[in-house]
Amino acid sequence: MNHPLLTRRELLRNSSLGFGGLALSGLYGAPVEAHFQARAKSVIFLFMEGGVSQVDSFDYKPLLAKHHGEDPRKAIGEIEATQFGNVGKVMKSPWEFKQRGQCGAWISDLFPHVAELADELAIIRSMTSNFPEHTSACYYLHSGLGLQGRPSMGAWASYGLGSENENFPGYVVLNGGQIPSGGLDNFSNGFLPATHRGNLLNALGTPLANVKPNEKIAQAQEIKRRLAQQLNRGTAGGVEALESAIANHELAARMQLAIPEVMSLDGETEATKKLYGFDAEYKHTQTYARECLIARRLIERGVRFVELTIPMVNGYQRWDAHNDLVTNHSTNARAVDQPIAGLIRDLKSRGLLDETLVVWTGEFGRTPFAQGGNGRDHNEYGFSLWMAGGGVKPGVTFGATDEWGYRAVDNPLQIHDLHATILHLLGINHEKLTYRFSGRDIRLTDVHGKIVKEILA
Amino acid sequence: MLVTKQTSVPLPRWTRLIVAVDPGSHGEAWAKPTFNHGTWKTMKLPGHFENAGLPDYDGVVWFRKTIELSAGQAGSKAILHLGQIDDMDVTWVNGARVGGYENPGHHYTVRKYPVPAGLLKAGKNTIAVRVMDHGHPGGIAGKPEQLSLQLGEETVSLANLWHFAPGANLKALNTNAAHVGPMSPLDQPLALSRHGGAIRDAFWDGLKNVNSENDPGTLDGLARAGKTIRTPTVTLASGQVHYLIKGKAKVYAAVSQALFTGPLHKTLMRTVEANGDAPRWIAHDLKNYAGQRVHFEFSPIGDAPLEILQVIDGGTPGHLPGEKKLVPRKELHRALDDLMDGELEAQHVPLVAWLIESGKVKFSGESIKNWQSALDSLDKEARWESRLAVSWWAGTGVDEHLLDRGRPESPGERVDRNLPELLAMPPIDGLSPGRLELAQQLTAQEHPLTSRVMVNRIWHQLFGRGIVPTPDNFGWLGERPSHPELLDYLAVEFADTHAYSIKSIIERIVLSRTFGMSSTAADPAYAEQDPENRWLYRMPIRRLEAEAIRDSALAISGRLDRTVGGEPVLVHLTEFVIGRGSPTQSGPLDGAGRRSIYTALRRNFLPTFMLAFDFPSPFTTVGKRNVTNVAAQSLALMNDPFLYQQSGIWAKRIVQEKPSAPTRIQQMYAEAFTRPPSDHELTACLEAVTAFAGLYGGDPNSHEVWRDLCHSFYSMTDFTYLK
Repeated sequence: MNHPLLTRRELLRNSSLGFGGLALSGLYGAPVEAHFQARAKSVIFLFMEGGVSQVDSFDYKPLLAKHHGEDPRKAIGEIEATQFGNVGKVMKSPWEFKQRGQCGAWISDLFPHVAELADELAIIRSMTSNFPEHTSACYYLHSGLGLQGRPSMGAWASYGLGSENENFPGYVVLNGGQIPSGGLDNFSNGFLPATHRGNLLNALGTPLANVKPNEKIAQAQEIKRRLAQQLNRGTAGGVEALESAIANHELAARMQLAIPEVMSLDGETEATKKLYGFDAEYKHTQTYARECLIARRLIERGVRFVELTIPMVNGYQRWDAHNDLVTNHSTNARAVDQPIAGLIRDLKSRGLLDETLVVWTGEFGRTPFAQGGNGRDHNEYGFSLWMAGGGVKPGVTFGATDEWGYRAVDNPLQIHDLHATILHLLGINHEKLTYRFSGRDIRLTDVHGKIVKEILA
Repeated sequence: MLVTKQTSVPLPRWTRLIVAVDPGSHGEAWAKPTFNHGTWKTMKLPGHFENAGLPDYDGVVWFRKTIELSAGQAGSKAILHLGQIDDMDVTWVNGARVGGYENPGHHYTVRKYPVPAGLLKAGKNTIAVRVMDHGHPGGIAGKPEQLSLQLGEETVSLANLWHFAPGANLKALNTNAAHVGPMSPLDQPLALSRHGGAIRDAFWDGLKNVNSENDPGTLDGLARAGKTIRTPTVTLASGQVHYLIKGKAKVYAAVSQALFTGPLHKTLMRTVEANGDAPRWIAHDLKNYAGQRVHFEFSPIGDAPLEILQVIDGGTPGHLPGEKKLVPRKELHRALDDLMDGELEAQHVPLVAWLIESGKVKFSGESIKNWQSALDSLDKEARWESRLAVSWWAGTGVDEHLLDRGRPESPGERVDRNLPELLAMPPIDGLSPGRLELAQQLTAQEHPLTSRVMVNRIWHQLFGRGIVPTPDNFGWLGERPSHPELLDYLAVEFADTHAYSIKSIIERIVLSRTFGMSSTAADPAYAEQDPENRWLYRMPIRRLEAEAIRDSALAISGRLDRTVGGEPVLVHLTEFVIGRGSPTQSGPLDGAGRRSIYTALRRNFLPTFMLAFDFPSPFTTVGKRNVTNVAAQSLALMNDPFLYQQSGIWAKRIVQEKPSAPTRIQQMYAEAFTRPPSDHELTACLEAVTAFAGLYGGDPNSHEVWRDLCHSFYSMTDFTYLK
């Protein structure tokens, strides 16, 4: 129930942190030196929950059109069990693919704005997951384990590098409406200190839990804070935790100003807002545009890891197009396409793209054959994602699925490899960033993970 | 319905069956002192009977011994020691039963049976032991020094020749049982006829599960509680499953690994209908699950009748079973005798059912009346509505395989279910899954760990750190106890003196000098000698847990509802407690004033306030929580609407109960921190009162002033830390 707290002297005797570490240990963790030269200072993680279809976006498979309408067991051969066991016919992509940019990458019309930026992207086509169901796959994508309870990659990044701004946490989640399957535990700090948890900021409505004072008169809060500080100082008695609590009160007061400030978009020009799609007709585009712009503002203020969730375009459907692929993917793409392109352009024009790693991915892909008449079921055997900025080689593709876009066959990757690469770009050796828990030194990549060197600039 | 694994019959019905056919057990004939065992062979005990002329034998073996005692010996306080018996036994002295272990799992238990006074006589005394062994070597096979009769101070050894004889042979029982297994009904002779299924008894239709959780997802609507029957767990071979049923049922094929090999419930659940008088075969295609473990759950639909006769895997059932079978007259009579005794054996059910249906046997009016009145009293006794819902349903035990590097695709050798050898507890045996045996062992008085772990957790709760600092891990990777003798002492005391009463041991500990210490060191020099306070030279300062902080706010304001038990309170939903699968109804902001443990827990939708104060994700046991220091906590104390609300309630009461500012402040300190304010604190609070009053038109008695002062108390470290 209750926990022993050491005096400052006791803690010093036993820790290697020293006073400097102590002073900030109650806050977000001082910046820590990276293992080696970092390419990226921060990560913006664009999470497309539900599973985006690779053969309809970044993985062009003309064979699907050729064999459209055929029995996949005859055309493709052996197929794996699917979630709903409702195997339909081979289904061509309803979207047209074209070669884009100078690199000539084949990208569909599903993301017209992002497709224009093909020369900025490193597209990976051979990612796999170990889990065909949302909750486990979401946990796995975030924490490297299909079960609840491990720290999210944002928490590891925050733990490994600390925060550059003492008014902001190291890991922020910008919520457009759709909390992923598995809930807030996707953003969990697991066994790492709670300061590294993904702090949820709502893009719409109240940004942060408890950031809005209840007091109608601001001064009332001032008086309360002064009183508490006055009385707390007297009894702190050199106990480190008590002194941190005092420091946190100061920090909380500053956050009450800092958070609304970053969300208010003060200082952003109309041109910038237009770039992201603030004036789009579709309200969900407006929501995602707001998220992307705030993401840029957050990383400018030193937040290490910003994750974006998608808006609720259609109830809880997300990208999970078990039926009516066209409506599902069109509406979701419409919400995110322009804002993402706007974000990349904005980062680039401000000289921030080189030190900001942008990652776009879902938790698995979809089947090249239909589910029922016009949907696609889950496919964890091969899917696509892309990265941009932050030390990634632009205008390249890596890995490939078979000629159906079904299974990754050329350089198949695991989520652990994605994690290893992200940490590497942040200047962290994924094998060295560990935390002792349950008797062993655990890391984000567990006992796996290889850096994808081919996509490093 | 006879649905059995291939070579054995489920216990303990097995026990009853074998005893029913054991010659020595009829009237306990072979236990009687008058029985003449002169023709029996002898063997030296201790030893396995497999080595004494009964190789490969499983079943009942009787052991008898006659000993001569003097009058003085017969009058002493006597204990019969038999050592370990493999597996089960019943023991008689002079025809009276003195002890026995009739459940499996006791083959390491050392038998010590006190002999009641007056049972032993001067002259000849007879000891009889009926041993039952259902597999592997059996017999009275402990250590020689354990085989003795203790008479007061004297010990008479019994480690010598005993007479023995086999009774009922287990293997003889295993004929003609129906199988669930990979066999085509055309390939194997079937003993089951069209009779003898598991029949739905409409008497139990009234069973209802009320006000409680049901099954998740698609199973939810089925209202299965009290009305569902399950088969043992088997491994699917072909997956071409057929059910032989009459009537209507919802079948759920509970495949062990369905979660990750899809599809979801839709193909695992089937509604099967076989209306009419004859049973019919209904197919259920589970070919996708070939090679996996499954058990089948049958639930009735509405009022429709249901009779389940067989479940088979593989082959196409061509015709109904029901060929003519020759029944020896002796067996017929035995079956009828058993029926009259009310102890019909399972294998005779189809026979008797046929006799009744074909009118060859009728029940008298008298017996029908008796049956009806028995049913009537059962109706009154039965509990028709229950809030208890089945969460885990014990099925058949399944032995796992060693998995190479933990990979399910590479199973190695089979490993028997058992506890770690290190714990030196009797191994779990038999067909049961072992949960009951495990529970029995863990709660046995002689189990060394249970009470030890518990008192350590209690110490952890009271002091902030356990004697073993890793309360979830007493193993190699955990930490050593700081005070091993103290832990030993408390562990024993908890079990013996306090009879496992948590309240009682807490009282013991909190009345100790150690607990009574303050958190200020008596002598600063102690900090030099014991910098981590491992030896508790002072009381550690402890941060309250999330639940205690919330409960404190309620207790202090007066809002706390101390009702024990009852329905949980729904989580209060905010924009930060949302997502797919979230609860649809929001609970009140103040949780109806109930203690925090009554908040309904949805592990993906935890209240923000709780999370801020290190409420752990409830996916596993967490004996020791994190204690963090984050700004989210300050924000919660400053801005959480629940606390703001409570401050208003508190203030209202304070203003009513006390007349002046100083008396109010004193009461606030007493209620919140159970102490009076220091002069410095009193002064500071009075100044704050004046400052607040200035904001609200100058009246120092206005509600807003005191609400604000009350609210500021939550930001004092005394509110969240015990010093």
